[in-house]
Amino acid sequence: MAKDIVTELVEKGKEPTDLLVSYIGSFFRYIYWGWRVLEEVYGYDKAHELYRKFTWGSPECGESFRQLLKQLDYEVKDITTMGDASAAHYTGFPIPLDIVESTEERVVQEASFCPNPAFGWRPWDRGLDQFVYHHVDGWCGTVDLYKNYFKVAGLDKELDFHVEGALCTGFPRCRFVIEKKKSS
Amino acid sequence: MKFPEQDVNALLEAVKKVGRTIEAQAAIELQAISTYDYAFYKCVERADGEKKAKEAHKKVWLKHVLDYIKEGELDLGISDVKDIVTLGLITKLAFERRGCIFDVVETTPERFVGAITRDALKEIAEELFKEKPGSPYMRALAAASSAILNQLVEECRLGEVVKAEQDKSLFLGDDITRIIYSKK
Repeated sequence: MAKDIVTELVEKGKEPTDLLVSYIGSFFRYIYWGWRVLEEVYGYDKAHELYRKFTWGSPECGESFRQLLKQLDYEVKDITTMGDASAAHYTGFPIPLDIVESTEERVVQEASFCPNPAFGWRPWDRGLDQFVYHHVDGWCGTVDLYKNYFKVAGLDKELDFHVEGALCTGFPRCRFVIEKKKSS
Repeated sequence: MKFPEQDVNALLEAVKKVGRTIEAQAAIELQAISTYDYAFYKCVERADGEKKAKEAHKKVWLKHVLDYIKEGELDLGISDVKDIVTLGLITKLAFERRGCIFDVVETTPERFVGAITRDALKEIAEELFKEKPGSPYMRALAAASSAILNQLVEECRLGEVVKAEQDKSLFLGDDITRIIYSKK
């Protein structure tokens, strides 16, 4: 599959770093154009809803987290294991998340690198175009993603999530907070 | 496409930090392109039906065309695409960016023939989503690929002299996707 194609291309003389940079640029460009087309076809409100359903809140994304859960050597059953598992899923982007706080009440994660603003923005001079996009993708989308994680792990009634910073919207780092729901 | 060195270095550092090889990360990015292309199509199909999904999906891919030309020109060190040979090379680079293995079969001033022997979008959709060649999603991919060729010809201002054809498609069950540019 994807791994075989990469292997075949490397055997044919392609540089792995060139492939990685090309594919990561293509991925973030794809979802940006996906947003733009939805906005043109449906207008902001409906596009906002559809974009979030096809990206981080999608069943396909939830499935990728479900597959990851099967590979972990621990059970995801509470806030701290969810903090670890969500950080593990983020390595796929690849976004290294540092867990800077982890208690039974609250897990805080921070990232100082995200490929989306770097590979989806800078080469294309689309800074102004992307302010709205990054709010929808980087801020609202991250909330969808964590809610997707919680649902897949059966912790959606127990856990809450909010974003306190996102690199793509001008913050010095991404800062994500998982908390126990007040009522639980 | 040349991405800023600082971004490439930050990406490589992140890949190292999450403990993955560059090849493995490249494969994940290919899988991401395929997964979210499929998710985009399915999301619009669920909301608005097959016809609208096919239209919106094609629009997303057509949005890539100006980028393909711009980045192809940068990669080839040229400022304009004036002939079939260069158009063929730009097309090869474009399809390789989304995980195709693209062989140039014939290239003369009168005719270019390219063969895509493997396409990550097809292989991953088959493996992960059990899509079959000829399914509505696969037909949408075939139509989008064909539309990309015609749009490349138009945007390179070669529409009066060059004809684009895709007479075989992996997405429709053929052994290759064949791309032909010929003089009118």
